[in-house]
Amino acid sequence: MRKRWSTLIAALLASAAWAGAADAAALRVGIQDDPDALDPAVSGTYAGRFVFAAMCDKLVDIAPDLTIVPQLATDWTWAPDQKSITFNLRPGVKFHDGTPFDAEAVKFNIERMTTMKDSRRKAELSAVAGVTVLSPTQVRLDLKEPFAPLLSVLSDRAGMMVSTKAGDDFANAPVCAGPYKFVERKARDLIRLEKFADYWDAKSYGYDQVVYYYISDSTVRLARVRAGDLDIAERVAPTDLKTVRDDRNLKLHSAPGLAVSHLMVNVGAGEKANTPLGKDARLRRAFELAIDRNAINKVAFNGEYTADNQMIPPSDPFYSKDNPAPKRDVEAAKKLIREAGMTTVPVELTFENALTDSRVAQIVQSMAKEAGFDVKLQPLETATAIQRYLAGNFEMYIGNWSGRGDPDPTLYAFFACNGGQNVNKYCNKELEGVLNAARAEGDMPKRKALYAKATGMYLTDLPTIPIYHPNWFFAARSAVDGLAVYPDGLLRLKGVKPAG
Amino acid sequence: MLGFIGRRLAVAIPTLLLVSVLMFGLQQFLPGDPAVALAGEENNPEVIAHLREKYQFDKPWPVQYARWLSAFVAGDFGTSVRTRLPIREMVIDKLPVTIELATLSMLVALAVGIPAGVIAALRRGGVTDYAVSVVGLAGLSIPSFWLGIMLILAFSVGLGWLPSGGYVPVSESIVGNLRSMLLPAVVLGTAATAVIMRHTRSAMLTVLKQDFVRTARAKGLRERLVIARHALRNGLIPVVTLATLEFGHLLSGAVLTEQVFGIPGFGKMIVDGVFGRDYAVVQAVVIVAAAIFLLMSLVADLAYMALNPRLRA
Repeated sequence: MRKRWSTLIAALLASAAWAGAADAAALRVGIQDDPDALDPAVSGTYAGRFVFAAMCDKLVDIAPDLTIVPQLATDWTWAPDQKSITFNLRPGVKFHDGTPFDAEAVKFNIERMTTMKDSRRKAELSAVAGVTVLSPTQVRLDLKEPFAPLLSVLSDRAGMMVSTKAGDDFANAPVCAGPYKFVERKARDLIRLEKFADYWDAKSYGYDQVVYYYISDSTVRLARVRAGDLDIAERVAPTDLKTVRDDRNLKLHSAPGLAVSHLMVNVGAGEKANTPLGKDARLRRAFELAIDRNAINKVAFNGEYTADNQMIPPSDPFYSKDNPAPKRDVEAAKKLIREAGMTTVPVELTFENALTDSRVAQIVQSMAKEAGFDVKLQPLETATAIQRYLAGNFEMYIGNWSGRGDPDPTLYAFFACNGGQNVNKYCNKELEGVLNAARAEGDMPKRKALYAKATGMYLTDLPTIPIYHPNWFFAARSAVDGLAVYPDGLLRLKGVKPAG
Repeated sequence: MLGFIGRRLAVAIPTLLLVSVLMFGLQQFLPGDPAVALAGEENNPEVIAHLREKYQFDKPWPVQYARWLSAFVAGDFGTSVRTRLPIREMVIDKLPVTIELATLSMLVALAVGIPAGVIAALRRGGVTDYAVSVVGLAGLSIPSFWLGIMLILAFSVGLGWLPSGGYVPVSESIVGNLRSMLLPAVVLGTAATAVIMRHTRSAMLTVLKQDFVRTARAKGLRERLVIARHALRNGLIPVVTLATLEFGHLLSGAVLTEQVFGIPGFGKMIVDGVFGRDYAVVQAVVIVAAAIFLLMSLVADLAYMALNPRLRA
């Protein structure tokens, strides 16, 4: 009997080993969210972008230092008046269905993104007035007004090129021009891609297949990498990093992120703006002084994130070093509250009822209390919270913004009077003027100076109080070689290959 | 018998209709605009308005319901507004996975729960009885999420015997399928094991006191035969009913287990559907789940009739 059991176990183990061997050239990646529609024109999730990074090449890409580098466009020239940009396209590129990629395809894509009814890229591409095909490998984008962030916009979904044969059900079988092509999607389970043999740089890609498994829990994701059933887990929780560091079969890959978590104060949207905090910038300053960003980072995230006072992270070239985060000063906070003629300031803090935000909210509540803020916590289920956020139906809200490679989509969205994320209805015409000037400025040092000025202005008015920037942590098996994490947290597979 | 089944099925249809109306109505009370949830971080009023119109969120709910029902009856379950994938295919894809998981969990529960319950009843008040009760209570109280992670850490990370998650279809590999389902079935089956064990124990205790058992013993039958042929057979009647109904609970309780082991089942569909305000998905899943539940209760009644000849008349 015992012998029979051992034979059975041996057979099972052998079958496991065989299964592993068969998948030797497949990279198995655990992702936290299930991507939405796999169409760059309509997708709205980070998980979607994560998959696109292997499937859909863009006109340009970003380097780890956030500079713009060639991808489907080999180089580009801005017109002297900054109102148009001409791209030279990589010759000989094919979409996964064999259709050639050329200037006509660029025109088709930009027009698709700007005219498709449910396109979410319209706002991003609103500066584009038209596309002119100059030759099969040269195309010009004409702009309504100078718009320096355009290249950054084209380094994301708005710059992803899909086959000119794209139809209505594109999302079910996407066809792009990236290194991996779509094979199958099992809803809420996995997305399988395989290497595109005709890719222009196919030799730089070391895996024959990439499979993205949707595993929402970060502990479970990590356990599966530790067990060897996955090769990479994205977004490992800061509290699990010690486990990764202690496991000699794993490697921790990290990079500073672009995202920001901030306490947005309703200063002008409806009734909820009529609060002491919403009306008086001194009280918002007092609130900022009452909280200790480093302590929040330490307690909630084991000190693995970046405590900071700006919407743009310190790793970004546009970060303003002239505006450092103030140290916690409870006495100064109390003094400001007295100056405002108050002793206790009531605040209602709304947030999505998720683990991290709840933790941060509780820490903020207890810190602010010491200075005289009576913070009432209002946790809400995600969809409800977002709806309240968009309607400006909150006094203070923990906002989580994913950030972008260029400062404009963040700063303009939050601080221009009609910005897309300006849900707290903050309006400072002078600041808006500076943001508009930065938008049109092509010269890097001058643009930097303008954003430094803008940073000083929003940090004076404090319509929102940034607290920290999450960083990216990926756990990978040591057998995965060449992995690099980018500030946008997307997994680029160029140079990634099995070790040895 | 056929008349009984027919009557039950006839009652099932209005029940399902009622469930669907309730579900549809209740979803309207959920806070949060589905179009807004769908638009996500991109806060563009034009896009939100288009989504609202495209998926008819702007229509009164009885109109939405009527449209949904007529399509559903015709076999069109609609499209997921989030992923744009057809829901019917999703259901066809995921339902067998959850049914397999629930079936295997039930097998675990029966294989462990019935013998343990019988032994506990036979050794009433003894150490074994207490041990079984304590283990049973623990089985009921351990959160499946925690148990799942512990088993993964032990059997996948530590010993490396079993996969840490994922699902291998039977068509791909039978051994692979069983390997991928073993830990999830144990986790999901744990609570059911405890329930079945406790019920078997109390049913057996009742039966063992009955006259016919005493008569069987008096006839000189061996104790093993008394237990197996007379006591257990009668004691199992309530347990079988319970197990069939418990199967319905396993289907709906599979959510957490599926989550921990990354099994692409039915449970995950409904959770993601609710949070993403993907109403069509939620609606389809709930109706199908309700239908299964009704079917299982019919099976329970039939099994009861089969085991209890007095009801067959």
